[in-house]
Amino acid sequence: MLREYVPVLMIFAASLGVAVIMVVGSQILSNRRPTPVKSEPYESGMPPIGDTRERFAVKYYVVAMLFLLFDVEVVILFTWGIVFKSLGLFGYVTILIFLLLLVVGLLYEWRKGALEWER
Amino acid sequence: MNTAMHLEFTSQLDYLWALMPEAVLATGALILLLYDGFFGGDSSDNRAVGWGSMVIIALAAVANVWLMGVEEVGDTGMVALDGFRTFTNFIFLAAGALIVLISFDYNRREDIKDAEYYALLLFALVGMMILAGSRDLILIFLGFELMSLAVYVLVGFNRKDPRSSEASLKYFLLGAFASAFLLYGMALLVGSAGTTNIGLMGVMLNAESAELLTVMALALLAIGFGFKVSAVPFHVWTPDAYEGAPTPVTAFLGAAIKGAAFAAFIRIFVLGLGDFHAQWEAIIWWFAALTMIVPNLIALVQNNIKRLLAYSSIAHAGYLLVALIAANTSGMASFLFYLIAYTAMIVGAFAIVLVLAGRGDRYQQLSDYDGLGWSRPWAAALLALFLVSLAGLPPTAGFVGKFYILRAAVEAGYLNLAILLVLTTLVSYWYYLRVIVNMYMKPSAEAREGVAWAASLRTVLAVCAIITVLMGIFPSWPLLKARQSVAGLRQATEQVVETDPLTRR
Repeated sequence: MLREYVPVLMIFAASLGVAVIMVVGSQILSNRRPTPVKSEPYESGMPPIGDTRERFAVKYYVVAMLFLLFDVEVVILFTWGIVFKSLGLFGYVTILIFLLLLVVGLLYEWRKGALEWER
Repeated sequence: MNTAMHLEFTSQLDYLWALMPEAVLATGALILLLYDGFFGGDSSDNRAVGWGSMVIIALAAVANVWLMGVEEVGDTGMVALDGFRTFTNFIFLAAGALIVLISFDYNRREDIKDAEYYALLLFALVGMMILAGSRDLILIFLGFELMSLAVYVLVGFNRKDPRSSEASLKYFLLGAFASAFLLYGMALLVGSAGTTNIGLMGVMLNAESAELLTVMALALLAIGFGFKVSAVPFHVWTPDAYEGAPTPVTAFLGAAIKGAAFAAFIRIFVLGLGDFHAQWEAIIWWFAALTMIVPNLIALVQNNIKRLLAYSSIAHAGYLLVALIAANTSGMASFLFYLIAYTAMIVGAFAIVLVLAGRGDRYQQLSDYDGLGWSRPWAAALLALFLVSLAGLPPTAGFVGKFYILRAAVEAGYLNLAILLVLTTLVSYWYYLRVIVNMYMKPSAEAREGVAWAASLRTVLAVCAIITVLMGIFPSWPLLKARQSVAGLRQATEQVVETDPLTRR
């Protein structure tokens, strides 16, 4: 059974190998003449204006949370879809109850204004 | 009950019948959420939702009464249909109803408007009932998380108070970590036993030649549950969470959540892994000993009443661990008895602390209780009653409960733990009596504005006081019921073992 995952392992190995070759190769082959401008994080980009650790509005986290919820829902629906026929009516009713729970959650979010960006 | 209904789990509908009280509660909580979403608006008073949740709890209790007449036949159900489950369900529902009643005035005073407070309380109750009533590791974890996630939010519900947010964050971070331990332990246990069913586990595993995998699983499970029941050394979150949480939620934490975690603890360790007693005994022995000694010593120097009660609650977890390690019928029956008594006295004590603290929870220091016996004689007398019961002095429920735990420990041959229990109880008298001395033998503190004792609060106090006193004077009936429930528990497990095709020999 584990053999099926060998291609995945090969992709990991190949991508790791390419990354290592690029980093190590440029270290070995390149000439170095550093200047202050060159050693900035974005050499030909915007001059940095502040810390990268900015505070985000809490709204983003709400969206991320709602997204995660429905993402997980899709994962469960896929697994149910695979065995849909063997589960029969019982599985169908169960998944309907599951969706009903989520719909109640969605209705609650909507009524409480969690889906509105400007408030 | 004319003819007992039989559930064979041949039809899928049987699962719905078996989960009736939980289904009623969950549906009710969803309806409450929808009601709040569509008709709630920004009403400043959510009494309607509060009373609604009382009705739902009552309906679930009716379903639970109906469940008492249902018997399961054969098969290894994921949900247990035994006396133990119905008994603990009743305790959780009663605790939930008491907490809802004391929440009314607190929420109005502290300006907590959101109706989801009650919905979350109901969801936590569903989680507890699943946790205490399932016979399957997956379902136990599901109940554990449902209960925990709802309670993490409830602890931080007083958003305007930074202490509440701090408590919630601490509880959540440590709790998530403990859940990981629990889950890892369950995974190892499934790996070594080959089944998630607790009833089958004891048969599939051979205690004579215990593998390292099983012993590690036991240790990890003990850590996960030890955190939830706040056993030393996994107790550090308890005082902070108890102090910061809204006071009704603190009472909920102390009474019901600990009880639910203990019920699952007992189901897994005593029933599923009873044969491994020799292996887990050493871990739990140290848990019990430390959990009795450490908090009782720390509580001696506490000056905040909520922190003092938090340490007292940790110490009570230690006494319950003694009942767990005894692992006999008396131990489990005394656990159930103690659970009722403890719920009544801790909810009563916190109800009084809640009212006396005043707006913004200002008066929580022990010095604020100086001279209370003269300025507010009723409140002081009731608080004294609950504290005396927590200390375990006769003629209260706390005394009888401790006595039964002692008897179970001696029956099982744990004389050293029994002696330790008595000694630590003697130490604990000091801090309980210190509050009472403050109330009756010190001059009154500066005059404060009067506090209103609402009817719902008076009801809760009366119920708690009556239970505390009556169970101290007439303990035989509740103990008989507890023993019967536990007898059913044993029987059910044996039945499972006999009828399951996997284990039939």
